[in-house]
Amino acid sequence: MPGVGVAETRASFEEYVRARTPALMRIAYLMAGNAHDAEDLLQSALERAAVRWRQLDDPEAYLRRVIYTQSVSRWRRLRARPPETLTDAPPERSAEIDHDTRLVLASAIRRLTPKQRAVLVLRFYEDRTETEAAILLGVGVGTVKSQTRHALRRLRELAPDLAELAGVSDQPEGGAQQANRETVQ
Amino acid sequence: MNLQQMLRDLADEAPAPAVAPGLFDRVRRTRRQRWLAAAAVVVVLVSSGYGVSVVDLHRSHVAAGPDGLPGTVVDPPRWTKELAGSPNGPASVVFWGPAVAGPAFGHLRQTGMAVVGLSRDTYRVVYPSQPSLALSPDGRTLLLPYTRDNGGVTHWRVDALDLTTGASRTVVTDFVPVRWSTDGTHVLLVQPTRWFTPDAPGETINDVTAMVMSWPSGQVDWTVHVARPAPVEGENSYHLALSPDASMLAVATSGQERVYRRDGSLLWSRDVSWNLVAGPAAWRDDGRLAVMQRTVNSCPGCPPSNWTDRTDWRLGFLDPATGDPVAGPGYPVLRAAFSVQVVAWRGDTAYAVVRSGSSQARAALVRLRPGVAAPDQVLSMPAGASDLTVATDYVDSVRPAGPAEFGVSTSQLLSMAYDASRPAAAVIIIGVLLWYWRRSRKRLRPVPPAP
Repeated sequence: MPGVGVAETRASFEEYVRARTPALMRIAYLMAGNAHDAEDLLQSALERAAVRWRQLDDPEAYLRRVIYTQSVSRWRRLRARPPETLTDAPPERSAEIDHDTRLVLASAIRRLTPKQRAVLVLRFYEDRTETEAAILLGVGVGTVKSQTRHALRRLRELAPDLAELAGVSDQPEGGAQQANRETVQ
Repeated sequence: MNLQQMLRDLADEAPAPAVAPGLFDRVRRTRRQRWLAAAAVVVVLVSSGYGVSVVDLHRSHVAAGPDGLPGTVVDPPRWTKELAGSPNGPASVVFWGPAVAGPAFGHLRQTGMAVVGLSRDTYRVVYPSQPSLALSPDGRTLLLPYTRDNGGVTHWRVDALDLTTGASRTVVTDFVPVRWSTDGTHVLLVQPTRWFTPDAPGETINDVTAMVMSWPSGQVDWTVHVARPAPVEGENSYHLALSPDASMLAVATSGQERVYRRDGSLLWSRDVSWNLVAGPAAWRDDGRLAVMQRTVNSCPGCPPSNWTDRTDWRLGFLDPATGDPVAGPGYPVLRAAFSVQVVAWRGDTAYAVVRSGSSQARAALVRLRPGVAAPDQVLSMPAGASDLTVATDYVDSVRPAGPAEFGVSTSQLLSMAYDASRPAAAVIIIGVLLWYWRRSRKRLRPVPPAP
């Protein structure tokens, strides 16, 4: 947005914030695993965007990239990663599938590494292809594939219920629609 | 229900975003403040070099002692301040060689020379175009040669630097300074013939025109053309000595010693092989002309001796009217020296600058007393001082050395920082280029909007 004054830039930024922050907050929430860290993540991304708002060709892509890269950044990971608790037995299966499975999924996602969490959200929440996920994360397609594979395997280990419910597997690009056609081996 | 639906259900639990009001202005204000703070830090760091130098300059004015040569001379650090901007008063010693760094950011045609204060151990540096200089006997004025390229032609000039004020003025062009007379009333300068006739034949290409100039008037007293058909002492070495009344000039060159009158005529000339006029103070007040008799060690089958070989040196005397040897007291032999230059006399005691060492010459000021077996060392120099000149009025006054003060040259500090940062800068530049390259690649690949 070259040639635009500060007042117009501010108006443009605030309008965008009003329109798009709910959607961005959902991604941040999935990435952070809790409301407090999600707000922190979103706030940080908006602050970065604000200082270079005039230069951004695609604010949405920029903000998403910041949310993903910040969530996997070393410093944030050191600060935000919840401690893992080792137990003797795997978590018990819940009888009430919808509610309890969501809780199990939330708990399992929080225990993934940030990179695994990022590829899962991109591939299965945003329904991105592997190529798009690689571009957004700034990594190679091979990395996305391997991280997806590791994430799903880890999910199966942490929450065996999800293997039956989700029926997911690591797949070539095409997003969750393709991936969901496969079953867990 | 699949994983995608589960994730969307989970995302629905995200709270409503609470973006702080005024975020846009606050973030930009904070960023502006950080930039200003960083700029302030840079300004403080850069100006602190200047500040430190000002503090050092004031400090140099407090610890003055008696005038004289310092008992100890040390290597000046590379950041030693330049004399022109921070004069340290009359000088006792000027020295040069590997111990003295060149100018900041390098200049091939300038040589670093350290100037040591007369009454305190303050060090400053000057950067003439050639290590051919003359320090007045009282240490107050330094004649320095400089070059200026104009259309491919090099022009030389001689500047007189007032060491008390740091002011400089050009006294003559197309000459280089060689000697100051022992009484400080005349200056001897030289103009090489090759400057103006670069295509001259080999017999005359090394000739020089010597000029005697009155000081401080700057009037040219007389000039003489000195033929040097085979200057074994080297093209840029001028062994010249003015008579005490500045009416005659003794010259050693091409295996000869000669005495010229002020009208340019030759009084006498004789072949002397390796012997030389003893130095700028060769001409004694009693009329004798001191010479340095060199003992060149030769042996059957050894390679022929060279001017640059280390040899043994002993003082002798000639009758300046005839060139015949005359009797004189016996002086100690100076062994294995590259060169010896007598710079002053106190009675029969001679003071000489001696350059000796194994491979790299190291200069020293010694005292040669008649009837004594070995010379006394008056001034010992750091290892990297390959040559020196002193304020000859003070050769017999050595004061105890105090704490050395060097000032701080901001340009030298920046040069040092630049030198140190060059390897890091290359890495940073490569990193920045890679970052831009990757960034531009990412921008070329559009990402479709999220659902």
